[in-house]
Amino acid sequence: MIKQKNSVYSPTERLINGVFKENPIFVLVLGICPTLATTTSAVNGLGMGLTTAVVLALSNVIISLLRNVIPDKVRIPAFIVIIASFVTMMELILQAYIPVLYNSLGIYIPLIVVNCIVLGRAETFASKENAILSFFDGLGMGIGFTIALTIIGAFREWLGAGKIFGFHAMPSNYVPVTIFVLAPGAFFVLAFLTAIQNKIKILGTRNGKDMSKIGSGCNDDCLNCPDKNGCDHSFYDTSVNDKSEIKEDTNHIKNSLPVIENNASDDVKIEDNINNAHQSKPERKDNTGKKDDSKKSAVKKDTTKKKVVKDNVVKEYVEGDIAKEEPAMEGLVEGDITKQDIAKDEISKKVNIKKEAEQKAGSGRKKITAKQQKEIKEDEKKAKEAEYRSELDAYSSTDEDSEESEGEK
Amino acid sequence: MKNMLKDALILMAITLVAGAFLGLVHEITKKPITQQQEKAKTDAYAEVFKDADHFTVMEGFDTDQALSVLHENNFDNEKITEVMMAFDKNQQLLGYVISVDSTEGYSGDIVFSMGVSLNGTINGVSVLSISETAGLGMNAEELLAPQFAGKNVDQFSYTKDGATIESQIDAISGATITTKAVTEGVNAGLVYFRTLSTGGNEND
Repeated sequence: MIKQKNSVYSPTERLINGVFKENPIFVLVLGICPTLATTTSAVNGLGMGLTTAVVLALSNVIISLLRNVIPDKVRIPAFIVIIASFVTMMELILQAYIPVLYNSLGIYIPLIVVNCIVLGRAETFASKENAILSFFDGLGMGIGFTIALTIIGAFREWLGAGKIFGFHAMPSNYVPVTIFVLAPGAFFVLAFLTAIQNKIKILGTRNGKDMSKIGSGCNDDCLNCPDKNGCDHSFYDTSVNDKSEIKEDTNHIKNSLPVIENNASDDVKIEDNINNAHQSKPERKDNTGKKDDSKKSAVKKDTTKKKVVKDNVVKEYVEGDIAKEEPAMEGLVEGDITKQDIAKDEISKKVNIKKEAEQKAGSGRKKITAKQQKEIKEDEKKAKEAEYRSELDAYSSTDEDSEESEGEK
Repeated sequence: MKNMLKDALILMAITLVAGAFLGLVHEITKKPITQQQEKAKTDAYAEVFKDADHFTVMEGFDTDQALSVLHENNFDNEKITEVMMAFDKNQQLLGYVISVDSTEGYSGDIVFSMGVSLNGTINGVSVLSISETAGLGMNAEELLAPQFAGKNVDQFSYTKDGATIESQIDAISGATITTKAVTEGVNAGLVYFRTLSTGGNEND
């Protein structure tokens, strides 16, 4: 993976992100199995959360350090080996020094291995960013997880057993509602808590408060999601295009803002055009300058990836190897695939036309009038949109809603 | 092909290093874990036999023999896993601590130890391992175990309508299976205890 310079992330930002923006339970809704199972009491939730937090932070660090060593093809088994090792170590340590917690959590300690948050963070974050950021990312996620589990546990214990942290917290004539300490109760409490915090965020936005710091990570549309590259991260074999990818990346860094008049190769220019097209788009729901910046660089990063991805997609279609496609595409019927194919062809045609147009303009690129530039931009924008649309088609129906529902990712 | 081999080697290296670290942690925690387990056991023994000063493993205890005794008495789902002898300060035998594994639990085995005085009175019951439904069967330790203490009866039975006589145990509402498993387990322990005490008498 390429080292991301001028990263949009910082340790504190990562901590806040894990606790509020992308809280694993209330926003991402990941790792629900241990959440439902271990939150029968506040203490259990706390213990489970802290154990997971330690595993998350440590495995993130190791995976981040090894991110340039681990081959892309075997990264999932490699991640799992690392995560499983930490979980087993935690299990042994708990058994040796905190047996009470070990006994109450039981089977759910070894099950942290298959907790999707841990693998999810390894895949979307630690395998791309440096060790320090990854540590804080894991820690933030872990703390968010711990807080969520403790709150859920406290509510369930309070309603289901009349206690909080083992202390009586209800009038003595209160008859505990046993269902709250059973599995269904976990769903009820989780649903209510998620609804409440969503309501708070919505009300805050409506009253004009700046919710960008605690707003859900998926508040904005997917197109501008700073983590979008997390969604399409190397389900493709990117090794073939490694060189061109690096070249483009350095170009991006050199010309911090892409301009048509630069001297790089045609390919890069087209990419830059696409960038321009993106940036000329009216920003939605966006009021803070900082966020704007992060989005720009995210889009940049995104397009670089997109380019590679697109190449691969085309290549793989030619080879007729659909199995290598994104998992989401596996569910496609044949008709969809051809539709997809045609859409891709159209895009590449358009891109070719653009290339020609640029070549016609000759060496003196400065001669391109503002009007022409605008036209090119428009075209690029259209092409890009068409591509996104065709991609959206490819996703399963649940993903189509993801722009509206903030909880989904 | 070359790449594949390289990938495999890297993965193997990672696995080896991870294995080495696991071995290290295992070595470090081995001793504390055995200590903790021992401590948990002695705590459980002390809890079910408060008068006793120390415990020793009963010599000549045979799980198969114990199992056949239980089978003869129609206890097919219980096992005696361990028998300890409880002594007071003057090396006087006070009774036995019998660990019973009941496989009839709602989800998995329920293991508990019971302290029985020589005259057949149950001193206490303490659950060692249980994985029943949280909020229901999991309360066996708090709700069921105390009901056995201090009673001297041949056989326990459970009831849902409130215990009226000494040999009756109040079932946990919503966890009848757990109640049954524990009660049957205690009965099995008592049956085995009687073979112990009669055997002991014969030796005298």
